[in-house]
Amino acid sequence: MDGTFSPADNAFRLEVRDWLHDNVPRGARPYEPVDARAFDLGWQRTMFDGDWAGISWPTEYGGRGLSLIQQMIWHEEYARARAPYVGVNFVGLNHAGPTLIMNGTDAQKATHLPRVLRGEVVWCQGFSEPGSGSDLASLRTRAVIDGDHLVVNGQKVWTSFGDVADFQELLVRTDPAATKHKGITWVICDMRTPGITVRPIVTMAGTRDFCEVFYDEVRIPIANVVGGLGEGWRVANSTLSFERGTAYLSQQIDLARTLESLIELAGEWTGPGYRPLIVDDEFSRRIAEVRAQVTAMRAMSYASVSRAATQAQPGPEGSIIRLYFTQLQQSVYRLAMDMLGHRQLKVGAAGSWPYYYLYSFSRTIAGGSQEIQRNIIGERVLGLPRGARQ
Amino acid sequence: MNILPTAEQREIADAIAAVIRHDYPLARLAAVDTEPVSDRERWPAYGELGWFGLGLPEQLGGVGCGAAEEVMAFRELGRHLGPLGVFAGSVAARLTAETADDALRARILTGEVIIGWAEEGLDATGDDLVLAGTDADLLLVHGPTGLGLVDTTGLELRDDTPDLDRQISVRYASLAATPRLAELSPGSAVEARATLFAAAMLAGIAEAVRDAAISYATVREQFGVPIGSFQAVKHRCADMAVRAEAAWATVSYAAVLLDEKDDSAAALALAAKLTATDAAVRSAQESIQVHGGIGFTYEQGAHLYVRRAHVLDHVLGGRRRHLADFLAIPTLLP
Repeated sequence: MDGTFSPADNAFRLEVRDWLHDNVPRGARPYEPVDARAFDLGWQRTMFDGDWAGISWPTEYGGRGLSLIQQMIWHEEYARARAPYVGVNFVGLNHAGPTLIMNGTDAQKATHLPRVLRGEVVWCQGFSEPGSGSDLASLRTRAVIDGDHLVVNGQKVWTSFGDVADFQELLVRTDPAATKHKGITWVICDMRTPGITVRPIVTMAGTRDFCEVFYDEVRIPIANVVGGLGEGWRVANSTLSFERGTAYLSQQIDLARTLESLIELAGEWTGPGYRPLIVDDEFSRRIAEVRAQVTAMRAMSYASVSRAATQAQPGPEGSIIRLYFTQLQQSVYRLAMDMLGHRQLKVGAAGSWPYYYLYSFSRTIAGGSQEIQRNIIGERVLGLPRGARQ
Repeated sequence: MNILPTAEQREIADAIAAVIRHDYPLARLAAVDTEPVSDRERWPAYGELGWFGLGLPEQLGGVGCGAAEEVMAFRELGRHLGPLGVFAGSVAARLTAETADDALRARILTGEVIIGWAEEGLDATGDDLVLAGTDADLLLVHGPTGLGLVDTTGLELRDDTPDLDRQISVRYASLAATPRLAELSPGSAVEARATLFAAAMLAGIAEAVRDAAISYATVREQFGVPIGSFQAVKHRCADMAVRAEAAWATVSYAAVLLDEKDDSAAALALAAKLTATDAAVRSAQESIQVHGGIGFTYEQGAHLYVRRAHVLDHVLGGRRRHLADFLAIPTLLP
């Protein structure tokens, strides 16, 4: 166990801190997808110009190729500087980009990677379908080969920023005869191709940040297939080895800051007897419990980064921290909601406590439900036998 | 920056675990009427091994390791339900190092004297809680006035009715007027370290009960399959794993900060105690449920961890007090 940073890492921290201080956008990030697109791409371009685009990407693909420790420092400073949420750049930077780096052809890499880093394009994800959520490999969107094209018919859902995206990482079934995991292909889909209809879905929080996408005879060049026909399941999972737990650091610090502001408010807001909530037996104890969990979350992030530094491939332990963090996000906003008392009955504008409370319901569903996370922990971390499913 | 243990730190912990497993075998606890193992016979050997001064500098008679190694050791003591006196002795050695009571420290480090633990000022009755004090020569008293060492000679220990944890005698005494052989005011680094040691033992319990539940869920079959294949059981086990990870990560991080003399070390130690208490108590309870009927028997022993977790909760003040103390810390932003 070693809690020290090298002089080089300390110098790096100061460099990051200075740059962020001078460059982080002053205004708040907009909530509407079109405005968010312009804002997020602009910020990405600023980071690119400062040589801070793709900090985890290898240098040969234009990334910064930072060590894990330096990525961690970047994310800590990022949160400290209150730099904006990655937003519409999430899929390009953290999912599609790394997938292309690991599986793409030279031409695919040369076409797409620089544009992601420069903040010129938005990528979205086309994985889930109405009938394929947790059981993703059961997906049914069909792609039939016709000459040098795939012809796609079907439907995707929960596509974040689908209505403002330029490209999509799309999973299609190219071989209906093959076993469930074998007949899937990962393909680059240009969202402007004829036959694609994008329809925004309103979330329970009232936002419009995800969509359903319909494909009607959509022709995609076979040259856009990544990693080979029928290799889609492997390609989609290869990206997991890119996520080394560092991204949680900035989110985790954001959450810690949210809780600290809630503690301040507990000194101002009053409850029964007009006494501040902070001296209320129930609230003080709940706040302290959540504060301990937020602190534990920070320690778990460090443990996760420490583990990643010694592993060639990140292990399934990532599901532990993920499950803990998503539950914790909900705990913080449920606490806030209860603290509000009757004021919880007014949502007001996006960004209010009730708004975030409503939004937080997505945390334990999106990107692998908490039930799936528990299965992964049970089976792949603890070695318990698989249950009755395919 | 890496908060995972090194191979050398693992070796130290493994060696300690092997001794505890040998000297205090869990099998001895299978019967309801087992007499507690005598610490007295074993203490000189533990002194020889340097257990009471693991984290003390060599010039003070210690082994010269840090909090990182100490939490590894106490995790094993927790996991194997080892004697509480190692904890009390280690804190007492640290206390006497701070107060420069060299002669007393030397006797603690060699295992010549056995230390018990006491919690003072817990409620309005004036009854102070004495843990593992029946064989102890001295008590390390923790309370509102800080930490102190008192002699048990002539001290009246009340209430010898059965204890929750049969390995840890619980008595009541009035300690307010008892003279302190050495003392430290509240909020000392020694107190933070003691809090962290207790958290490490609780983290060990959280891991032990997780592992026991997993083993059982893997071999126990119902409806023709291992019960661990059912999500209702699997998810319980997954939650135990999450709690254990949270507990140990927080303990490790706090240890690293303590070794760095970081300002936030005491706050992290408190967070570690809260997180580890929650993990140990809840997972120990859940483990009995996973074991089903056999878990309700005395012989199987799943209950032993519940008992020990409750005892360790009260060391250094108890969960409710810790929550209040933790909330009182001004800011906790990294």
